[in-house]
Amino acid sequence: MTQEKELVGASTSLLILGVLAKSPDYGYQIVKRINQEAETIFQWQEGTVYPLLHKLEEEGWIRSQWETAENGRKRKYYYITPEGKETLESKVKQWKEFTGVINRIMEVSHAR
Amino acid sequence: MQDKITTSLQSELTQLAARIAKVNGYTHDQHLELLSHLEDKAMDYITRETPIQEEDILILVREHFGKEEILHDLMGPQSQPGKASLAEDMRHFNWGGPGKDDFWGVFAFPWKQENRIRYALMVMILWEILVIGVLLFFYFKKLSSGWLLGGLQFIPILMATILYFLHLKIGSKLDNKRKELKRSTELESEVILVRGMIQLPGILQYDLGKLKFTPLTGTPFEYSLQSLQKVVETRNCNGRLLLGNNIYFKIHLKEENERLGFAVSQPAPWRKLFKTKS
Repeated sequence: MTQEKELVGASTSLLILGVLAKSPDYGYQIVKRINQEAETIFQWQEGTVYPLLHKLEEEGWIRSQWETAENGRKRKYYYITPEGKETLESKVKQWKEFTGVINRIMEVSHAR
Repeated sequence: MQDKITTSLQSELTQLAARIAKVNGYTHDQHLELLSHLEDKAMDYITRETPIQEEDILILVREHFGKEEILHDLMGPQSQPGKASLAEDMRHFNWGGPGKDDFWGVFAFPWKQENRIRYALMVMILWEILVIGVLLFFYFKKLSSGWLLGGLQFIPILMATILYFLHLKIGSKLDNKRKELKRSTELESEVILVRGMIQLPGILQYDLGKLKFTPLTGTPFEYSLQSLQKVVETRNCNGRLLLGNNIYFKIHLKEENERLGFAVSQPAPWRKLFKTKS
């Protein structure tokens, strides 16, 4: 099942912060990791991740540094910052509250 | 993970990233990040980690087989079997010529021992057909069979004469021809030229941006490489191994809408030339 663009769009920052909270990575791998998790539910275009990463970096939620990757090439790795972790926790909380409301409404409508 | 990106591919990716970065006004950091993204993408295609999708296939087909200027040659009325001229039909029938649906306007292969023998055999066969034709003509004109048998006795002598001329005389004539030609040429090579039905030993030269073909007899002809669109190295033409298992430079000239193909004994300097041109 493919998700609505708006729904995926609203969760982009959350997804990137969530992935980086698990382990730092570079742009190309971040998209691959998200797409692997998402399977057929949604697929990110590779080009969309870089503006988001740069925006999150400007916000101070992530930081970057050039490192040598497994393949021996230089890659720009992104790390979540303490501010980013706080934001992630806050966003996860908001997300849970929001989905909780939706779930409750759906349960009521199914029960009728 | 093993890095399989070749030097030439790396160079193409670097150029592509630089072009995109310039057009979009990227910072140095963004430029490098784009390049690393392109490298990762290329690597995933090479290792098949990213399978080729339908859209990719379409791009490849369009790029390699769907170019208007090439299709024009292939699909145009001049290539229709029923409308081709006798000369064109003969050219495709020719043993040294390329396939019809990947038409090469001019074709040349190296003047080296095995090709000389092939060339000699071809000339001999043509001469024999001519001699037999003449004899049969006289035979049917009610001349005695003695004339026919007598005439056929000349064939081995004729073959020996042709072989002698091809091996010894033409070689020295080519040497003389080369000496006559301008000495300041950047590159030159002895080849057998195929143009239409004509196949002749000659000299192929590159000088001042022009590719010049000088047959042993007849008028030289030349092509400017100003409109050089593409140079491909190939051994095959339409899945068929071309003559002598040589590497051929297949050149597409956009303005002339002409495709040339030639092989030389020493391809390295020519390869260097085309690298700087294309």
